[in-house]
Amino acid sequence: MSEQPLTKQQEIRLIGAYQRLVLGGEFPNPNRAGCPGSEILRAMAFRKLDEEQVLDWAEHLGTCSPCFREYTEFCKQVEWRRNAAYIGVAAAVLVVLSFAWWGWRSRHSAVITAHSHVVADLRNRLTLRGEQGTGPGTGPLVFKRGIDEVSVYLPEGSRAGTYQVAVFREALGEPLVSGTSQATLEKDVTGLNATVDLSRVASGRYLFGIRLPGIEWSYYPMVVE
Amino acid sequence: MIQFVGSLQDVDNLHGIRASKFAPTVEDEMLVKELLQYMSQRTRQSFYLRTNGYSWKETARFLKTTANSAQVLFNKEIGKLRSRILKVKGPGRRPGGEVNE
Repeated sequence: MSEQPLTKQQEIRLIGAYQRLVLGGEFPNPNRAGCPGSEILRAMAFRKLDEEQVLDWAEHLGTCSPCFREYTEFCKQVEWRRNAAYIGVAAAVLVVLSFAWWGWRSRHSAVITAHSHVVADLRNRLTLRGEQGTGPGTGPLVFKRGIDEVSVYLPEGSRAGTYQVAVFREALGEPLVSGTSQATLEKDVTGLNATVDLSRVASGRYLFGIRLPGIEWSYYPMVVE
Repeated sequence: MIQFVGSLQDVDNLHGIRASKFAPTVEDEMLVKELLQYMSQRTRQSFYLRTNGYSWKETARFLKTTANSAQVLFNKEIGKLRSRILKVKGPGRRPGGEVNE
């Protein structure tokens, strides 16, 4: 028979066999002679004992069933704490990922192509001009996500002509969508029809802008649902 | 039937038990007890540290060596001792699960 070194599997089997022996009461030590006490055992299990002491007590644990059982219980506590820590970290990662996903979703909304008809009646509404701020007027205009066919009733006294309409973020800057439409005067009401593509715009609060070319934008708070 | 078994040789004689899963376990337990009698001080230290759940990395740190070196020396010595013990015992099932030819 050749003198082959132990394989990893054989080593595990032998160690396991010995652990079963000790746990099974192979070394009873009823008087607990020479036992180190719970604090030492606990420190060993939690890897808090210095190297010299570990070497001193390791053999005792292997030859004292009561100590080994107690030590095993402490090791279970270590394992439990480690698992709890893993679960805590996993839960934290999950929460962070959920928030990241939610944030990403709110910025990269799914494309909605449903068509809706929206009436934007701007008569008797508070107009926000230029740097006057972005506060609400008499309640926001309500738009639907998707392709909106918008009938706009312009403020009284507006003249007919080609108007630019656009949707802005509340912080203003470049419009998210924009286009032009011809306004006509009928029965003292100036109105225009425009197609506003909100298929890629996330739900939320925005500003609806309208102006004659070369003139300052007039903004109206709007909500995209 | 429960029967007292004193050595690996006795286990060899228990043909009824031999076929069951119980036999290798008993053989392992008996072998490890015999091995402990012949281990060097250093291998015994490694053995007890491993029994107490210390990794090879930790064991090596206590023994002031590398994990690989500690493991190789341990497995070599145990392998050698095991072969000698089983040689004395004669052919049969080898603790660890294999069958000797």
